[in-house]
Amino acid sequence: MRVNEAVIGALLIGLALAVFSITASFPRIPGQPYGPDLFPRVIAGMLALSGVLMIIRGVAIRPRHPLVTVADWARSPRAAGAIALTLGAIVAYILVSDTLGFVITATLMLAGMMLYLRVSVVTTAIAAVATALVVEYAFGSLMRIPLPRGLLVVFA
Amino acid sequence: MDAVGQAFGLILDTNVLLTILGSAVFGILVGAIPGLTATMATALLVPVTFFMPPVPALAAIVTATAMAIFAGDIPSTLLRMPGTPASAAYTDEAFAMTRKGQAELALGVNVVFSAVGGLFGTVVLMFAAPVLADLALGFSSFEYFWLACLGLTCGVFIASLTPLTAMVSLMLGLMVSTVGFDTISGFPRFTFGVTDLMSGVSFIPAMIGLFAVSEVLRGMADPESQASLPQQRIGNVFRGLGTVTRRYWPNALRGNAIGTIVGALPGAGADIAAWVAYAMSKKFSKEPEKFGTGHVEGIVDATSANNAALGAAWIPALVFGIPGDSITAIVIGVLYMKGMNPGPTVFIQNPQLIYAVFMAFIVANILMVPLGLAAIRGSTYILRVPRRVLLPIILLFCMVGSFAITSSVYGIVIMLAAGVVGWIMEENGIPVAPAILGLVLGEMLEQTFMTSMIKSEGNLAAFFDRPLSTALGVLTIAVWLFAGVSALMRLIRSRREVTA
Repeated sequence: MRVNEAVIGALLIGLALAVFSITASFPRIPGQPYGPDLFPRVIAGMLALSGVLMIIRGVAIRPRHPLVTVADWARSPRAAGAIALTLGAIVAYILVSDTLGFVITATLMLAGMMLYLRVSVVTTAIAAVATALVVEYAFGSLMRIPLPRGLLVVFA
Repeated sequence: MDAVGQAFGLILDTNVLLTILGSAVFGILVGAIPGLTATMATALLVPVTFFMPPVPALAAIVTATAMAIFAGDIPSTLLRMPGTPASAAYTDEAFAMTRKGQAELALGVNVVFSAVGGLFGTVVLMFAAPVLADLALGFSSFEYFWLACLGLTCGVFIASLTPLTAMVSLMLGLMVSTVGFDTISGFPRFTFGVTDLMSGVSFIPAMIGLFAVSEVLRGMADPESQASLPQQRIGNVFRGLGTVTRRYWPNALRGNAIGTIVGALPGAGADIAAWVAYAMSKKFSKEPEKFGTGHVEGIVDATSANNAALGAAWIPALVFGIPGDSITAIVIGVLYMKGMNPGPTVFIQNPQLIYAVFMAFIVANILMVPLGLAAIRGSTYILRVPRRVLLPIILLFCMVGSFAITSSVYGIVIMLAAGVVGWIMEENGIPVAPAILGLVLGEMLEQTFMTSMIKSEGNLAAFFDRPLSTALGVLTIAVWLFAGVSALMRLIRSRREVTA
């Protein structure tokens, strides 16, 4: 999904304005002319400036780019689905990994994505389980990262 | 010289050497798989190095990146798919050689001149860094402010074809760097009541998201983009190498020099170095008409340059804490985590660690020749691993890596957000590397800016009071003006071409 530069420019200006309004409530250091709002405001000013330049470019450049260009992936339901699935998998991991535990969540996530990408069932099963166990061992046991154990807590 | 002896002891430790070997294999795999970059290799390594002492941690990064930049040449030569962007400059040339049946020569040139280039960059790093560090001891906040500005400016205007989009990316990165406690007053900014945000947006998950997750998303949308090998057997890669060396050694030298200079410039790294070296090679060649037809000359220049740039990029990173490329941007984060705050004082406080880094570079580049040969032989297998299996596994590594940094799903949330933002940015032609540069340098820029403003009581002329700060300031502003004017000219030309 590609939008015209002018649209991005407008969004940037909006962001800059939001920063200005939020920083207005920042406290000042007594006796100091400059507070924690100065630097974000300078950056917001630069953001607004680049927003203006983006609008100029989007409007002035020839040949003009269309307002919205639909990307290849958005035309193919399969590709769009793959992106939705990937994002969904990350969100699902964030939500359920604590309850289910790392090994189960990771295996399900890998298997779901591989099957969607049409990897054969046998390869999927081997790759998903092996990866989850290797990661659990390497990161969880060797490097002592507190990966959630969840349902497998009995084996801990 | 006592530090050198200590450094030898640090690097010759069995564990360190095993780490180097392991990360070399890892670097070759990542570099040889198209779509996975040396920066991504670093990003995926950081969570692992998190739990190591400083020397093996840095040695792992040094080795993996050196190997990845070379290994990127393998699919580039055999499949016309650059393994890393640093190989993109001469992909067509190398593939043309493969079509002429000279794949062995192209790969042989790549492995040998990459190693030589890497060693050259390391030697310059070893001699230039301590000298510059001495100079930098006299810097005040004004000089550091201008240096940070110059670094960011180079990142925007040299490293990108469209400076405006790079500037947008940079400003977004700087904006995100202001989230969390303000360094001067300690006031929590833009946290919206979220406790996790108080210490700022965790840098490594953000970077994993911007570089790796966005790449996974792109790959998921198009998992079939895999070519088949045109040449199945690889013969002796050293045949004909002697002739090439005798004929083109000045090219190698020039490539090394260009790579070192471009690498040492803040913000521009191996990718740009290879493009510049290839272009220079063509310009000064006696037979420029042969370029593009499978001519080895330009490859000698460019493959030397990208590996030389790698070592040189550590110069500004170690001496000023300003990254020379996106890899050293990550390295600076690692240095802080290991208590080796980059800057001139690190050469006084921890010289043995710095020398150990230099030695890791040397070991890595020597190791490159035997391991590179093995990788070239095994490339037919590496390149057959299907992306459909690989992409979900990479995603899992990204998530575990992000989790490891924060020990909570907060890291994964940051990674997800950064991944989506990075993907949208790249879809719209906005490069993500400047955002990382902004995120890394943001705190330093703000701190030096605020300190300077408070010291000078708001008098902007004070930024030009000292001779060195004047020179740096004038240079920075000159680059800004030049970039502004040339952008305007381009816009006018685009309009004129349409009307004409």
